[in-house]
Amino acid sequence: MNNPSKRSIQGTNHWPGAHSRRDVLRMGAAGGAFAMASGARAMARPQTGGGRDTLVLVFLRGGADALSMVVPTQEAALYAARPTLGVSAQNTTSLDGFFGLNEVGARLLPWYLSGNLAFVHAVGSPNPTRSHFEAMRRLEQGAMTGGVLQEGWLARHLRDTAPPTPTSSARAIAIDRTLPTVMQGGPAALPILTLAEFGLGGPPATRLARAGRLETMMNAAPLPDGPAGLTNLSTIEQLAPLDFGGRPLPPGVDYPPTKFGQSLYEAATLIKSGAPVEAIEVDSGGWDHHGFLGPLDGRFALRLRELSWGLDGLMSDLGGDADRVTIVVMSEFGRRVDENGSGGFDHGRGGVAMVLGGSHVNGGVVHSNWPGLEPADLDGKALAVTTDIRDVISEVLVKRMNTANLAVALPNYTPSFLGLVN
Amino acid sequence: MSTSQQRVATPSSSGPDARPRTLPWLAARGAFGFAPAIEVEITQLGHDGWVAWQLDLDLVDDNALDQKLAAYPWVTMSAIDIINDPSMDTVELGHEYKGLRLLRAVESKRQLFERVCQFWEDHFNVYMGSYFRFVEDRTIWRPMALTNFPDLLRGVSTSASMISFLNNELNVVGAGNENLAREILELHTLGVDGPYTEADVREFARALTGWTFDDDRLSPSFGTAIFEPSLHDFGSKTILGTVYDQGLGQAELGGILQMLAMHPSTIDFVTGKMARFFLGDNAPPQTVENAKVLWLQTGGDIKGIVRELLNQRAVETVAIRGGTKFRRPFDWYASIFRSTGAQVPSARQNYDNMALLGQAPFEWAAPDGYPEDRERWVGLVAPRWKLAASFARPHLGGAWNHSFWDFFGLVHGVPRAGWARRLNQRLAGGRLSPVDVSEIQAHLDSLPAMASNEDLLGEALELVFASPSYQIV
Repeated sequence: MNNPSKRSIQGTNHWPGAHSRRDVLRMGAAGGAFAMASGARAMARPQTGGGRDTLVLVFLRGGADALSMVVPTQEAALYAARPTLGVSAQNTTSLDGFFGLNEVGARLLPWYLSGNLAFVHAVGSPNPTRSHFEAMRRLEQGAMTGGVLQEGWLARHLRDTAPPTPTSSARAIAIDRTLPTVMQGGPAALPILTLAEFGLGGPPATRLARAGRLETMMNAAPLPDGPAGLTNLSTIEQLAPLDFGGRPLPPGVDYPPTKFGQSLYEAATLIKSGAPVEAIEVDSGGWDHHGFLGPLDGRFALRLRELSWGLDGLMSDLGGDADRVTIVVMSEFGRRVDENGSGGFDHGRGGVAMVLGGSHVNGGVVHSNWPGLEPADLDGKALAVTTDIRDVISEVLVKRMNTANLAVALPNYTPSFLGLVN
Repeated sequence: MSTSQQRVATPSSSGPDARPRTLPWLAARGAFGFAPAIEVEITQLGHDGWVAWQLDLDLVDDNALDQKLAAYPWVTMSAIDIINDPSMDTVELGHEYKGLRLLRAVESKRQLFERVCQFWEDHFNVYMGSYFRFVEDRTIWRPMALTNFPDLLRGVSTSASMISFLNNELNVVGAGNENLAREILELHTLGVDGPYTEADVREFARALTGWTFDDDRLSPSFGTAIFEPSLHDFGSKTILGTVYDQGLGQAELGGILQMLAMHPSTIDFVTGKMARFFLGDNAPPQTVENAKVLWLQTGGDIKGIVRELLNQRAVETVAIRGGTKFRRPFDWYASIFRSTGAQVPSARQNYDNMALLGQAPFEWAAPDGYPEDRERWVGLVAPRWKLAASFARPHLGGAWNHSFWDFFGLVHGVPRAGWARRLNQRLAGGRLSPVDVSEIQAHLDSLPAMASNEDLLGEALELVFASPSYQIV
């Protein structure tokens, strides 16, 4: 093709009426003094404005196929390489004339139109690995090149950046089986499989006394066991008034009936309560589609439908609280441009990231230094990486998380901000 | 291969029938925790004598466990027999197999063997996405766990479950897939800091082409690894400076894996990892050095390496230095059954419990296996506390196979004022911290005089299993 693909699409489009949803959110925030008071305890609502967002990190595990999600519908080379799996323009909604959103992900569209959702395309790690394991580790450690770092980038951010208000309960929660690499080595980070099950068991009559005994024991326990135990106890106490199973949803709001949906619902419960949690991690697994991918009706479509439904549910559920929330969605890599013999795509390079949130997000844009899809444009038959994912992470850490020292959180890198958030 | 003749086990310096001071440490590192039976065994045989006995599997009668496992006949079935039996739900079988892993850890008399198996499960981790994995657990992972490292490496590298897990069936001549090659170098042999380059990964991947598995459900060899010459790259390869240019095909891989298995970086990496697994971060350097020398001298004899790492002097040194390991969820869960003697629940129930605790066996999705590092696990204690509260009070419900009466013997005849000390001896071999013991006792003392034994023991057991010193070994 005659190479319009080398252009930068960044900031080319702002839709008329793009601020309608944003205004609603702003109004919600202005009137939003519905600080939660439950039982004897009322949780202080964190300060907004110069304060700090709650970061919601969603990892699409397995390598999500960016080219089936945010489709470069004007690229003839895409359809040449994907004779059976290419998503045609008519199955997308145009985002800016060049990219179209797969119709399966339609529940994301209103947020894009309202300016609360920005995409970043051809984004990823400069490290060429196509091993899930190594790519995830590097992405979460922020160690794209060179050796292994000891902690995750979020852990280093938390360690160096004091909490907005002193707290003894968890600063970061992974709604996950174990603590993900991105939080490892940080202070007050807990993995909690499901918040609905989080708490002490045993008879209520002795619960307080048992918690008190455990607290004394933890105070005498060695590092890092003791502090981790104390964080658990404080967090149990902090979250005890919250109902993670039965909080009624606002009218018209729903989540997918899956573990992913349940996790996002719990994340919203946490955020809306005003609990002093600075980061929440949620996994969306199962994106490793080597075969039977089915961008409109197969395995990929199932994942994309769940993802867009879940994010729509979360944003709608948050309402005005979205003004102090930044949601970042990323995957360890994208997939190859050419389809393989089993109706799927093998591991590739460039992917797509999303940033969602309240009025601080400069959405309605697909940021991309588009590399093109002609054979010579590719990196080992895959979409090349032209935007470092650390640019996305850095901008959020600096502008929305008050990070004290970006060079510690993401060492050996000088980021360029894309203007994703204010 | 060489299975070197083992040294005859000699009684420890403390002599048989004197309780070795290292007993609680050995029970927690060479076994899945303290239990009445292991106390008798180690006391009778001495520390080093027990280790030597455990490493000679023929001497350790495991008939009682085998009879329980016989209730699950599919455990010994081949992949083809399983898929040809319409009554078999392979997903459910997988869940049960994971639950049986706990039964083995609790009830096997071959405790040290089960610990070694656990180490290799993580080192050569394969997520159990299919029943290939549990079939090959029986045919490859477990029978080779105590042989020698080169044979074990060959066995797992050419297993159908590893090949499919790391996509080597997609790695064919002219269209390489580096996944398996990279992980063998990075995770299984040389280590991430090992002396290999990206070019070595690519060259090694070429050598692995053609190693695939039979996925034809009508074939008698369904589910087994095969070498397919038409998919193999017969050209010359250079790996770590050694040229493999004879076009040996199937036989080529064995030579490469032998070279990797005996490479000094592999010996450093894997021995160090085994030392951390058994002894923690404070393993005496001389012990680790001795184990490396043994590896070199014996061709990677696993029994000899394990015996060296767990020798009495090494464990004593670690104990004196106060080095500890944080029990992972699986080990914690196994230990509460071993220490109390409580009947293990159904395989399916074990699986559900371990999933809630965060460490269902064979379910770590990445090829590096469940991590050992403390940071990963110390935050995940609340699920243990909740499970302990339920386990300690079977009279209040829960899907348990034990009752309060299984616990009552622990404190029978002891006045309430002595329960915490007694439970420390009976459940932890006396290793709980003084603070923890005194807090548990103070809690018991604070409860009403009229409280029932069920309620009191429930409170005490929950706190023992939740206490920070019970989490470490």
